[in-house]
Amino acid sequence: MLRRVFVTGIGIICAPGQDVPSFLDSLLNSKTGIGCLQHLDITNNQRPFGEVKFSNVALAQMAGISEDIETYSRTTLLGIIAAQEAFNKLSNKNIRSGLISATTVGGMPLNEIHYQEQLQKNIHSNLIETYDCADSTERIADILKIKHYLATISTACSSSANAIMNGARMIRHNKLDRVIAGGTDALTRFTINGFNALEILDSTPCKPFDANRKGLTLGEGAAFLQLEAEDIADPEKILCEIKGYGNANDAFHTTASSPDGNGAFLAIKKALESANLQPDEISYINAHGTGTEVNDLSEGKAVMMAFGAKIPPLSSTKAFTGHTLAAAGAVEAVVSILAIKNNFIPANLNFSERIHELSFDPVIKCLKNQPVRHVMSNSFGFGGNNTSLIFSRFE
Amino acid sequence: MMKAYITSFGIVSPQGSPINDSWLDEMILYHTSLIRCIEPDFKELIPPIYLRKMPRILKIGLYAAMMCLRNQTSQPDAITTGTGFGCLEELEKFLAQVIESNGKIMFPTSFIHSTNNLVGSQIAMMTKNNNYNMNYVHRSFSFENALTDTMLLLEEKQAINVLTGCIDEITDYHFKVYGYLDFWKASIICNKELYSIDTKGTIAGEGSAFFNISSEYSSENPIINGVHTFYKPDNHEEINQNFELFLNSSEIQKNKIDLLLLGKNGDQQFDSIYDNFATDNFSSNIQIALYKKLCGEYHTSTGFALGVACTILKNRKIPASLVVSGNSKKEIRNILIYNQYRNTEHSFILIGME
Repeated sequence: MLRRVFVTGIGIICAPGQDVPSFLDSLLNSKTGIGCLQHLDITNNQRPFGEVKFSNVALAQMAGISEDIETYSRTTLLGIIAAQEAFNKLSNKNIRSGLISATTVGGMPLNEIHYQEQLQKNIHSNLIETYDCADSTERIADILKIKHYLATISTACSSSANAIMNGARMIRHNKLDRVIAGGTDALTRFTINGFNALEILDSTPCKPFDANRKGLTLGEGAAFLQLEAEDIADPEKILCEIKGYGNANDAFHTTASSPDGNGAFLAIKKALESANLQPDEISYINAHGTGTEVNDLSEGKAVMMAFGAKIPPLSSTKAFTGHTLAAAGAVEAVVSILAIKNNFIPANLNFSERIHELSFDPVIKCLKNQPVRHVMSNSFGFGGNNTSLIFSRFE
Repeated sequence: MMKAYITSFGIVSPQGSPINDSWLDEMILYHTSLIRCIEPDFKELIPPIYLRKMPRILKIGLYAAMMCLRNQTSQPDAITTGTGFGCLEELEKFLAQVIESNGKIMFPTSFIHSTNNLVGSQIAMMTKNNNYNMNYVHRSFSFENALTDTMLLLEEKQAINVLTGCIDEITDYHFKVYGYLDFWKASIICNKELYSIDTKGTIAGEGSAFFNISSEYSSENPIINGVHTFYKPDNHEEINQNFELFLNSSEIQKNKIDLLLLGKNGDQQFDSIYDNFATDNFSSNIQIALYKKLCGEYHTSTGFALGVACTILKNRKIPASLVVSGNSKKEIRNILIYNQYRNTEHSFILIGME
């Protein structure tokens, strides 16, 4: 028998919030976290970023790490903080727990500092094993004492949406009872230079869905959900239900989405089908909306194709957080869940003019006292890896 | 547990590719602690127009995938991939640029090619496949994560045919820094002698393996009867408990297992885990074969092992290149692949014939 999957815990750290309450406050009051870089040493850093406003030393303290701090990459520290907030201790040992995390940069924050020296000689042997993607996942698992099932997903910017989807699938089909699912990515010189070379970074804070958008703003952060099967979830703790998910590949271009938004449309359609919902039942769409020319147009067209004339209220929250890459899907899952729990729709900041090919404007002012029942959250990545999730009010 | 049938496979490895049934009969020898893939003639399966700009890891992965897909009549309903370290060569190239450039504009090619989901997404692009596409990057769980996902997709009836594969490459830099940690044998040995020198370290390897995995019944194809992973067991009892649990869920009895295909890598620090496992769970005459002398140690070596198992089951004999201990008279119908990486990521895969 298929089991229902509930979210019973959430945790987040990103530029506009160091935990769930402060993040909610920023969303409700339309306070962006985007600003100047303070903690990453990089030449040519005039651009705005969604940087988490703490040094690694402060993050280690928040994560409760007191030994070998230098061996924890910023990716790992962010991940530990968010996962701990989402996680409730378990007393029942018979519960099968898993951790499905997502990252694209992994241990790059340390690797890029020590790469050159390490080419010459062995001076950082205690760091070498931290450079890969799974290091952050295993360190989170060690702290939460999760042993039953571990996985790390990397599908570019849809990574943590996929982690949430696969956590939900494992529970629904009775492979696991509880999964901590989400993702973490820190800002690195590697990614900043990469996106810069692609010429898709805006020199001002990103303007999702605006006709004059100039590119994305990179951010960093981590977010995790605690997913539980209906038979073990404490009804008091249920925040929402994971109702549907869809994954499709655009199969068009390595870094750009197709002009007609075919892959995005397929992911949206699959998610609606798996949730058994009609398009007009969606109360809010949290869009991927990066602010790049190609993404927003292609996503907008996909939404128009899927929803027709009645497009639900839609906003991208990337202008609050920056694009947190592998963490974005989970960060926006937290936005979606907060919207359901607190009956509001966050604003799409920095919007002023509609993209002329599109038939809709995003929500430009935070809508409060708005009943939110089903939320769709989109995440699209390099390689055409597209995922759409549906979160629903617990009924 | 869902039954899944392997209808085809493709491999690029230090032992070459499975171009015929006898591909493993003669072991290719290496006198080095870093063994690389024998590169096939890529243009046999990849259009030259794509090949020109492709990084090596992509050529290797795509070739293995195309080898697997070439006799398939329909598109896979999903693509799942795993890679322990991802596209190391391109990542290092871009990293070197980042360090040297000092903020100047660079070319994005290596950055794009360093994306961990490169191989799976490029397969989708080249074959115009819009279906489910997933990539795992969890050290020595990467291939097993992908395989677990595949089994679930079949169980959900989201897919009937899934292309599942893995890929890892070794680079000089990677070899060098892991050498600082004594991961590799200090003295130069022949891969044939991997298990006869009782010292620390192993030999580094690489490779790609892809499988077309189907839920459609077929009596002539190998069946995956189960996949199981577990993390950091406290002691060998916990390993045995996991094995019992796994057997129960796979519905294969222990005495039906004819061959253990083990991930021993010659590192004296960790190889005893396999010995204890075999002694605790099987009689002393169980047949045991060791595959890492053929492909070296890398995170997704179990993909290669699964290809070796398919070869054994299809040929109904163990290739001459594999050392076998135990009673070799018995016909091989069920194979257990057991691998562990430094006692951290452990995995079982059961594969057999009906």
